[in-house]
Amino acid sequence: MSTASPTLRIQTFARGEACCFLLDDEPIAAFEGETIAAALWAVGIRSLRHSPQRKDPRGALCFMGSCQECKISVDGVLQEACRTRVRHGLQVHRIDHADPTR
Amino acid sequence: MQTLHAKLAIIGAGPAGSNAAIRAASLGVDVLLIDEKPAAGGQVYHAPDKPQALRDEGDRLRKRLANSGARCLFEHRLWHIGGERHLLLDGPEGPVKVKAKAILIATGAIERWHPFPGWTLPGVIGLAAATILFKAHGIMPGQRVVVAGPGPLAPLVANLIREAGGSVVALVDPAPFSAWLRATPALLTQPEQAFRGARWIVSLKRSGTPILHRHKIQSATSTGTGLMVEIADHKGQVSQFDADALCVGAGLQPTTDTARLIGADIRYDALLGGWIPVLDSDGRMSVPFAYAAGDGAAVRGAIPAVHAGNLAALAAALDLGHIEARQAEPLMKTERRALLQATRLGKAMGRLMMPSPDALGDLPDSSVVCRCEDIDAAAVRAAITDGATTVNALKSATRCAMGPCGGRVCVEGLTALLEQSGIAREAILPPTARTPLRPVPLSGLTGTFEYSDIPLPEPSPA
Repeated sequence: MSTASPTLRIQTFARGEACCFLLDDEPIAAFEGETIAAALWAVGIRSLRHSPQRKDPRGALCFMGSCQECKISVDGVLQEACRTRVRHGLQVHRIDHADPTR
Repeated sequence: MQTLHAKLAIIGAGPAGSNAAIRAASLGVDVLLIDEKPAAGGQVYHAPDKPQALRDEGDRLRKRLANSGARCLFEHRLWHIGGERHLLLDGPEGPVKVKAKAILIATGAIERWHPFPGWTLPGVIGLAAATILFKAHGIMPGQRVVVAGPGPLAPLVANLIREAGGSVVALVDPAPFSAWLRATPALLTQPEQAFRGARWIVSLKRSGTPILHRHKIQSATSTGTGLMVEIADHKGQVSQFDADALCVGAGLQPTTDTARLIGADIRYDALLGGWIPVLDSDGRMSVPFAYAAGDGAAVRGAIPAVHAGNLAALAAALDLGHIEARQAEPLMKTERRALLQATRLGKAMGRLMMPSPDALGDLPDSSVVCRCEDIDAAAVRAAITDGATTVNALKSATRCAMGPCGGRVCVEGLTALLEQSGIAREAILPPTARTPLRPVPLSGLTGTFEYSDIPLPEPSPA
């Protein structure tokens, strides 16, 4: 399990309850209220999908819902990872993670 | 579909929109304030994930708003305005229609980006993105970070990283130090901000952070565990830096898509961020009962945004008949004067953030320009060689700016490549604004319904 790394999370910052969600069936430790993109960034997961033609790895760029680079499947629905908050037990999948051609 | 009515619908709850809502509500205007985020504050006063006790200006603004009587609709995203100011929103409970007598657009600024090889790598994020990681989530962009960009945003981010215990391996500024010296008189008109800025620089210098003026990001490559960032000086001399993140931007530009969608006239002003809506002295756009304020109307920063928001709210209240001219005029005069005073610093920062006409001169052909569609510089240059002189023509020729981001990320790169071919920036119009302004799920268009709700025509007789 990826632990919520203390190194990128600022110690003095007030956070919600600790929780755990699943990324591609792997548990990720996070805090309630964080967005999926922020929680994954904090544990060092940067690559969220691949580009349509070149199949280059892509991750969150703007963190404000503009760039659409962080699109991810949340409980089966395509969402912006930077605008979707984590909840305990949330099932998140990278949209092309299981596709061996990518 | 849920339908709401409002006298004044305000789009965007940053400093301009929130203050406009508070002011309009205080004059008895029925206000509906709409934002896609879960709380007011905009990017500059981004609310933390967990609401906290009053700490700063943003918390005070949210408290004033909560007590103002303005209705707020958060987590709702505007994707269309049609008819007589009918707004279509996508929200967590499905689609919402808002019928408004007047609209105020306060949608703020977005970052410009100039492509370079490797700018699509995970780990490369915007400068505004870095401030969101700090303010909303209390998360650092990295332990060893390269921070790059013109104007005040890059030193702000570098300083946040230092304060949090991280290391800024390089702070990169395309402008020479002399450009900052030229901005000093304007900076001194806002001593508090000038002092804060000076403190960042002193603290960065003291910590030994390399501050590289007249440098730019040449490329980034993945090392497997992090990034190798190449930084070039103005003569093309390249140095390499190891980092775990790169925070990079090329200045701020107003978001004018909503204004353009409703047919408002725009004009070009390099010092105010580029294309901006044409406004009268009080924030009225060229179409009736439509107003704009804040960085979405002209990039000047948070303090001028407050005055512009107040002024537009007064103008709307006056036009809607909630306040009489003799009562409004002295209030508006005060706001106009404050806005004018605060604009001087905004313009000086705008000068620092103006893109160089040669920004993409050495961009390799193989570099991705449009990230959504994976269109490279070679394809864009070929279309320009074939005669494309506008962003719309580049869209038709290459599919660039036609992906999910709606051109928000790549139009600056396309503009810079057109400029490179000899066309002046003020002659390069933004692309036509199209519905939907943002990606909207099918359920956001249709709402939920039962099969029996679908009107089916009687089968024709056999």
